[in-house]
Amino acid sequence: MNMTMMSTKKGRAWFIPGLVVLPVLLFYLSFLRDEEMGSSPGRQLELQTFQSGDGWGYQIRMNGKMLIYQPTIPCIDTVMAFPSKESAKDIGTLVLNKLAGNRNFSVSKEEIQHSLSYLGQ
Amino acid sequence: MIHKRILVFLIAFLPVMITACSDDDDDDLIGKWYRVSDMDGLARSDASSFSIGNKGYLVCGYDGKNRLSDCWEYDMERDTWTQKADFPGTARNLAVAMAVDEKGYLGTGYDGTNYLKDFWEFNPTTNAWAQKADFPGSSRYGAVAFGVNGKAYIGCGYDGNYLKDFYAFNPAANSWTQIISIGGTKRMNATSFVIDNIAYIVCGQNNGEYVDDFWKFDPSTESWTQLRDISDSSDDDYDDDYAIIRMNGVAFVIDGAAYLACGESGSIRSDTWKYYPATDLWENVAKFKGTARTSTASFSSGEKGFVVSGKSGTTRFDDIWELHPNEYDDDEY
Repeated sequence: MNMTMMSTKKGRAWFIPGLVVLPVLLFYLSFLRDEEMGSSPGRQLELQTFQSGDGWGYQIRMNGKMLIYQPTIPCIDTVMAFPSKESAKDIGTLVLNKLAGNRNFSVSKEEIQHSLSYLGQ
Repeated sequence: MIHKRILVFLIAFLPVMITACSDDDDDDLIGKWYRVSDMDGLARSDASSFSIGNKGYLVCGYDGKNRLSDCWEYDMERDTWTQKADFPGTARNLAVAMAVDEKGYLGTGYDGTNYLKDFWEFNPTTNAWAQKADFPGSSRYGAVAFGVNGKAYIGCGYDGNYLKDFYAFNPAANSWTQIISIGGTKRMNATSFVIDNIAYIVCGQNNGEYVDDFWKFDPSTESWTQLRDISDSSDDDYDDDYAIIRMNGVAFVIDGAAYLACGESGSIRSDTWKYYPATDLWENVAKFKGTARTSTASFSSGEKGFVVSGKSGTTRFDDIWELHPNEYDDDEY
């Protein structure tokens, strides 16, 4: 029996328990990461628009509790509400999708400009 | 025979009893941390924060890849977030921020290449930022700041050297004045808090050493007074258990007492200390319940206090925790 055969057998001996241990370890780590990143599995996100002054705003609820309350257009220097229900819904949907993907859900100026020009506001 | 059995029983359960007793020591620490609305996806460290009334503002920071310039308002009563106008200056981390008379101010910091000295005002009523007179000291990061008695104050930090100079900004005149430097040690990444119109500067690091001298600033006389050290440096008993020194800690004020949490001193910290200004004494209270972290931000309304975001190693956090200082936590953590 040469050394190569011995190491192959040893490799097989570790391979089978490894198949069991690795998924368990990955399963555990996935929970650990979720905990650290502050997100929880199975969260329900919901977008609602509402009338805000002369315009519209949106709110996003997570598992029934309000997380984001946006009565004015985000990101830009203004206290104006969205000019229409559609524009509030458009940006709200963008934020909701970012939240669902666990991405930075801050809205950028470009996204606001794109949304409002796209909607002809 | 019965006595023998009792003896065996006691010996067998001795380790359990010892463990139970040591757990009791932890349980005795007053305070209970509650996790509130996470900013799922807004994980960051080195952000700047200020509080106006029951609203906390989180600005800039570093997500491990990019420096940020967004600005979020947290409603401490409703436990909700609203995105406000982006910070218009260079995206940065390690800046300082403070509130003065219903307005927020942010300045200094680091953009990844340059140390910064620009200074900005945020008006929550108009949701608008305006650039103000530049900070007159050297460009720097890791400074410490506070707003008190109608003025904003910035000092200490790092510009290639550790610093202890201090400056006051008068919003009415849009002008800066150099004031007496903080006494004692130069420092960066220190922590400040304000109680009853007196500002306190604690912790920080100087040339790799965590500083233990602790100072208060009275704006009416523009003078510094040294308080008791925050380490076991005296022959008296009161500081025997002091393990307060750290950098990048965070503080907030609830009902006239300050709470210092998180930070780092070789290791990442979660122990929390309550400061009583009347007696100049610190008490160890319930440790931070989230993952131990450093470089966090904080919100403080005077009645509520929150630890916001932060990091441990390369992991950035987006969870928010509120301390209820007068409750006890039955959980072991």
